[in-house]
Amino acid sequence: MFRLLVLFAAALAVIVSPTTASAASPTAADSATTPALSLELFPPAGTVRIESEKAGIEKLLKEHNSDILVVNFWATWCGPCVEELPYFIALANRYPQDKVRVLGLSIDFPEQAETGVAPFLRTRKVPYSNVIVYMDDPQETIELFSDKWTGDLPATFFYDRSGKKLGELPFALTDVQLNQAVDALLAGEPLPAIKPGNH
Amino acid sequence: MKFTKTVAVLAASMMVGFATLATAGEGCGDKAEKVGMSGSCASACAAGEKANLAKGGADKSTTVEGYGLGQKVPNFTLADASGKSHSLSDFSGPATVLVFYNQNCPYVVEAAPRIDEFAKKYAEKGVKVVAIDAGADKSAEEIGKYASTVSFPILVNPTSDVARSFSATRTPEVFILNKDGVISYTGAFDSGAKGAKEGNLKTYAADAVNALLAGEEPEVKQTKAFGCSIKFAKAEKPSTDGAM
Repeated sequence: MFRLLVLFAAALAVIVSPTTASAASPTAADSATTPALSLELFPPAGTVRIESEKAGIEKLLKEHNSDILVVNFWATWCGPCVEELPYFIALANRYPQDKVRVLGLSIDFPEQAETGVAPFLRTRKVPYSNVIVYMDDPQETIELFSDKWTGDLPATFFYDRSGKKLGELPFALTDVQLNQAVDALLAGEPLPAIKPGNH
Repeated sequence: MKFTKTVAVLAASMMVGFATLATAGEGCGDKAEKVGMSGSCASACAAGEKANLAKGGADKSTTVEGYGLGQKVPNFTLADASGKSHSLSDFSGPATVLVFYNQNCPYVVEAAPRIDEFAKKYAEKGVKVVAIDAGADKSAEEIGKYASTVSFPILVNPTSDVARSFSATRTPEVFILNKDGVISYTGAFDSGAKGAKEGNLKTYAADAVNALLAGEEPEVKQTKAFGCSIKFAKAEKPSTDGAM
């Protein structure tokens, strides 16, 4: 049993070493400046972890190791969020993760993590990381993302590799709108004017 | 044992590639699974609806783009679940706390005991708490059954026009009126679940009401909060704001 543990730990150490991890990064320069993606920070698909610290959220926005980070705020009980979920799944499946990474931030309560959120993610085959945001004051979370955002769900935010915000679409999106936004950002263009629509 | 498994999964997922393993490893069926309060807080599209403000309040003459801080709210009349009519003016007092409400929303369910306790505690000071269910997703019977379990009235606004007139978008969302019916605070009832559990709750609504009771302006007039989007009834006037 103990030997087994050591073996896994050793395997882990080899795998997370910068040399191996740099293979996932697009350029040598990137791997030199950005650390390997932390699975503790970005939980594997189908699982969820709880984040209660502002610094932890800021870390997610900075240490995603991708050209574009797409952050989608959602909850299992939010109808419009669930409606747009397939578009984010398709987006995540379309691009390598060092190019476009999707991160789901759920505002389900932590008690729902294992009984509600994780099974939901597995059933829907959500291929990207999800974190439950559970802060002392939700207002702090909302303002960390945007001073214009009221906290309405769903809401989507875009960040570059350095953690700089590229834009925000704090409303339900269609697949066309989401792709339009990501295409523009990947082309180095600003976020196009996308308005909320009734869909 | 559990630790070993976790390490194994971590190690393996690093080798195979994060997404590939995690997706392939689950073996879940396609069949949708009922989770949480699924669907109960669904909304057409809150932001879209917000931009698409119909006529204001139940006062037919008013056309406004959502009452804001410092604005006097025109009187409106709504029925409760039993069909009894109530006017905003019936609830005048040193402070009136309007709460856009959806009894099925997890964020409302979580805050409900504190709202109820607040309503009971402040009733003796003449402060009125009034909930408004502006969703088009429940029967009066369902609301009535729930209303009998709380100390404050729940008014029913199936056309959602009152919510639109306030530009309310989610539940619970609070609007506190002073003795003159002027909006003195909008936003969260309090800082929510974590603070309530850990004893460091920020009691925004109570603080605002206490200020009004002391004849002062609330220090914090506006906060932001998560909640369930209001399931608006279809607007009478079609949206012209870039609907796609």
